Amino acid sequence: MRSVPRRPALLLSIVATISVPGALTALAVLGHYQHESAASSVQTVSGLPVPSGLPEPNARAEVPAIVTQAQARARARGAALLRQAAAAGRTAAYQGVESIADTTMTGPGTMVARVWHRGGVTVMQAGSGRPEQAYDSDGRATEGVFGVTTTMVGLLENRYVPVYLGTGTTVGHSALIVAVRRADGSTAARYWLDAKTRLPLRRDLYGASAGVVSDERFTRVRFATTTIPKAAAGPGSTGWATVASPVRLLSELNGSGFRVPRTLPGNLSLYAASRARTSSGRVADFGFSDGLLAVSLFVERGSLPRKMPGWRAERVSGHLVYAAQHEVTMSGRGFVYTLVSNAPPPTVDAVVRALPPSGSPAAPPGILGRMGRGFDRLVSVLDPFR
Amino acid sequence: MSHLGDNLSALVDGELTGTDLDRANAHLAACERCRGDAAALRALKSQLRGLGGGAGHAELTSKLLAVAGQPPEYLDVAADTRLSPGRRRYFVWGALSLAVVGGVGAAAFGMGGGQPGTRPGPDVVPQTEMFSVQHATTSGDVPFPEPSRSEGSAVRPHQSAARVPVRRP
Repeated sequence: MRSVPRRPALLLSIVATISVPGALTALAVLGHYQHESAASSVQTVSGLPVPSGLPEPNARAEVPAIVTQAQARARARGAALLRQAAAAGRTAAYQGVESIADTTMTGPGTMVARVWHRGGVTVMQAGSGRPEQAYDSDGRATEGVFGVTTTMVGLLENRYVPVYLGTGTTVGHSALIVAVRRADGSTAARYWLDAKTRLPLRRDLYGASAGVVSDERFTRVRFATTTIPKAAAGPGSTGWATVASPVRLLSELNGSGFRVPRTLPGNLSLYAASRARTSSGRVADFGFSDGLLAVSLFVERGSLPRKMPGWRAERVSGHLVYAAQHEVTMSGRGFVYTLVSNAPPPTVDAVVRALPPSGSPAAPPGILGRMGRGFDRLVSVLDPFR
Repeated sequence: MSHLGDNLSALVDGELTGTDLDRANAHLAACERCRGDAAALRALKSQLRGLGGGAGHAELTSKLLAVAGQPPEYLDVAADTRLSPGRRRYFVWGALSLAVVGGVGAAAFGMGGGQPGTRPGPDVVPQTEMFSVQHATTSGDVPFPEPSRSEGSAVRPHQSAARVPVRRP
């Protein structure tokens, strides 16, 4: 009988030690997610209607049922060819002229550039300007032609179905044609790969309902050991440090009081992050993609100046944003957000609406939200990489 | 003659009522031995109340109860009112845990106040040329040229000339 009165004290200690931190953690997590609310709006940067075919975030394209063995072989070959194309972008020696036509935020346009590539070095010359070594960053090997990199192919295979269609000809070279299909069977992209080297010679991107939204192709190409012109380092070739964990950097930014989601509208997943210093301070870069479309989000502290010459001012969800060709920039609550993307304007519009300056309501967060934000800030203070 | 026995304690404690109380008082008036026992018991209880249940007097209380012929259950009343070292340890740890967790929660609540990122910060002109090249690096695409801007961030005129608006059919 004498031991009975002790048990409540023991139980109280155990319960307090275990359950109270758990409850507070649960409250903090609930508060964390309470922040992630995005306002909806029908306004768009481009003035184009909101896309109706954008999949929900985190939605994973379901592979249509395999009907025949021939289709299964075509899919396997399509995926293998794209992986070979990604490798060819790193290893093949070539020179040529690239033409890229797409619909930008300010209307359709075409860019022409000469390109040389050999031994992991790429030099580009836009128009009549001087050649610049534009790709190499952090000493990493150069890779990628028309967005066909190992990373992008991996993302693509998670969301689409590559299918080998057959042979064809482009820019005077025999080509293997690979179509990239959506879950509903529609074509999202089509690649022409050089039959010998597998280097991408052409890529067309198709909107869900708008036909061709991007046409990238070589108008002239030659595969051979070529002399690469002397090139100056491009403006983005120095200073960027790749972050090993993009999610961690994103969490760090969110600890400052904002909510940048891991997946942007259009099922664009976070796949890369980097940091750099500019004349105005530190800047973080977050790369989002589905394997075809890519959005780079640059975040830096500060605010945009009152006058932004050369940019077109628009209102999205009541917030002022500025659009250029492939860029959209906006500021709010102490940060400047700049998007660079090859995505069509409707997708960029959806992304803009999901970002903090226009997407987060100004309502007070409540107790749970406040505790969640406080925990975020505590973690940020304790983060040694901050 | 039968004495009060167990009723003596009840009488001293004021627990007897009605006929039992009258009968006990009548016996007490006639029995010198029971009056003595009742007086001794009242004195003992008065002493116990004066001790206040302190831990250092437990042994003395036990001896006094033994002298008075009372069962040792009286001791439990005093023993249960103080904390044993083990229980005290549990309470200390529990209190410490609550204090730490409460402190962290309060700190989180305090740090979560205010508007996020309300500092306007310096004026920043996006380095779009640098950003475009970085975008190309990560996405494997071609860097986008700078659109023509009369002022602001660095402009490369030759690249502006490279992009020519076209119309598609």
